[in-house]
Amino acid sequence: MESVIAEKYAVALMQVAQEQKSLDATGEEIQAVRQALEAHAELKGVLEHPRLKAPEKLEALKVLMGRKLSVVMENFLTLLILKKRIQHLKAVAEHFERLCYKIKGKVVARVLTAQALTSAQRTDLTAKLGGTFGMTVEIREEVRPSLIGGIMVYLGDERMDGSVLGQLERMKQRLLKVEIE
Amino acid sequence: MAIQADEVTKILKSRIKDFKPETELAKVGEVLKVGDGVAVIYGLKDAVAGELLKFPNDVYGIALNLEADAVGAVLMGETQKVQEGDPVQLTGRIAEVPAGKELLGRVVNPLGVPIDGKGPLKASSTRRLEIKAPGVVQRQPVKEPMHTGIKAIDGMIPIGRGQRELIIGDRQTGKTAIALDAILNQKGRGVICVYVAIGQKQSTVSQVVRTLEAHGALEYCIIVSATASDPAPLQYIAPYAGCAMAEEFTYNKGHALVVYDDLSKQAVAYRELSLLLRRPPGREAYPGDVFYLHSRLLERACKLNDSLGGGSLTALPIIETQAGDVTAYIPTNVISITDGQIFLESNLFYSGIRPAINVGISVSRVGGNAQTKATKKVAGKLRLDMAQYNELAAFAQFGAELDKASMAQLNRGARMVELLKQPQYSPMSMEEQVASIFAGINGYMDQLPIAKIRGFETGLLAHLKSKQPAILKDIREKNDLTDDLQTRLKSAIEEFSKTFLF
Repeated sequence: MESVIAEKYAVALMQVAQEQKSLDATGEEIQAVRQALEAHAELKGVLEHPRLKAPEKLEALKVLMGRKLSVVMENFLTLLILKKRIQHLKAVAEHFERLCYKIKGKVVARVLTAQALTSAQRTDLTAKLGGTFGMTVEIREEVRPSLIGGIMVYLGDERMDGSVLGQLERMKQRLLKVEIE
Repeated sequence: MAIQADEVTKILKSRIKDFKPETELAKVGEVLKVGDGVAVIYGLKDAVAGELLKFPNDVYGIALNLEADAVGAVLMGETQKVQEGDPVQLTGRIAEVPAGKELLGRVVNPLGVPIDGKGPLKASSTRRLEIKAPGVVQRQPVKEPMHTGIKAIDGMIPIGRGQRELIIGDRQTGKTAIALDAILNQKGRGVICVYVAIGQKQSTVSQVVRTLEAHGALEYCIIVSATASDPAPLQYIAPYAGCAMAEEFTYNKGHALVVYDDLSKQAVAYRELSLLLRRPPGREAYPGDVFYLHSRLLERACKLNDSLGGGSLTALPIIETQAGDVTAYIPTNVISITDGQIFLESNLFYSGIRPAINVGISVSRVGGNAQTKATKKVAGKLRLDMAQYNELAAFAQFGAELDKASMAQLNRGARMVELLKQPQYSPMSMEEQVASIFAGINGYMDQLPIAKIRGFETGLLAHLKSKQPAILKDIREKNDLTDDLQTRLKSAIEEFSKTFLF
């Protein structure tokens, strides 16, 4: 249910942003609001409090954001608060991000490596993944020493496992299946 | 067979040498939440309904709910090992179970893993858990009998190979006993039997296994066991697993008999996991598709046409009613799906009529075509006698004065009821049944006191076997009770009556 609601709001915000040609700015803004919400647990309490009035909630948000909100974002947040959907803000922001990437023909790939990538490796990998998927790929790196070596890429539902850990696991499965006459 | 350590090392070494490190491509999702044997998985956009999902630690699941960005799945195996955040892989296939002759004599769980301690199972093939039931073209009418060895059933409620006959009754009325007798009677007839135990006590299942073993029936049986201590998903798939194992024989020109003991427990297990998957509850809190749950299973019972080998799959589903209430949801569903039902009643059971079959309301919709001519000739009269007796018996309870004819009817009926009693684990062959019912309907027992009926029957059969074996042999071989045979049988019975002392 949450994702259905969030998607509707995200699409609407997206269309407004496109009309106003402020896709990037709106994107940054909603991510900033989301981060602020995540950083301040008490703000969440304020926003979702049933006894507080909508203007008070909006005021609290604005103070925290340093009153830098654009008109579009301010209206959007007011709408969310009035419709009592502010608790879905995180999901809305995620949907919005996904929509943005879709429009720009970009995808996010989660890249797990045993050691941090060097910048040369990074450009190499970005180019290679882009070539494979025919899209601009933005990589998000995570260092996971348990992989021992190699690389593991998550892209949407796809997983490419080229890690040493995965290969050892597959070798183990293969050896367990060996039948001895 | 001695295994040498260095040989093993050699094989393993070669495998390691041959191992090519390559990148594995897989479609994965992530476990969002897990509990009660049910998991919600984020992602897996390409998952299809019923697809097998692979979790870490060799746990498998079946995708049942496909939602916008999540998949609801039931887990099988050691479900406690699945944790939030675990990767879940699509396998691109649906669940399968091992199948083949190697399973005979074994006790397995619904995933085909042996649980009888008789060593690993090397099945020759696998079969899909769920298949589409054979269509109109692939079938032919039921025409061969599936003898249960029980006089009351083979005479009045005959079952044919490929039929679905429901056994329904309260607890402790002998439902399993009938199914077991039917299995025991298949010895030497080339029918493979699959007994699926769903939601029963482990001790009950082990008792069944021991019974089959003691009567030498285990060698043509497969036991699929999902006991009450197994998680609901296993209980839910158990009948499908049993059916798939039986189909392996059906589709290879064989004949199979599957007993689902019992489907009410399977429905309860399915209700449990449906509610956990947040599917809306309907009548008696069962989900909306509980009818389909049973119809798609029982529809797989069939008699295949000759071009497909003419194999058959007979199903004997069992339903347990609560206080004789057959109008509850699951009983009505299964009654409407099957080709007839055998009603068992506790009051009959406790008044000593065992098997406790209520012949008045038990029916078989297709089995009549499969009855042998010999049985048909005697059973018609038997049915009539029983019906008239039941009608009169209701009257007689008021203590009304009855005319001579009615008295004779009552007299005959009471003797037939006595004659249809049969002890457990002693199935009778067709010719024996014909001979003893023949004696009953032709009035040879009317003069006997009721308490002596069964003694008379035993004696008569022993007499026929020792003194007139040709009669029984002829009935068996001709499958018919010709006029000549009737006269021979009559004279044999008369001859025995003279010697029978009471």
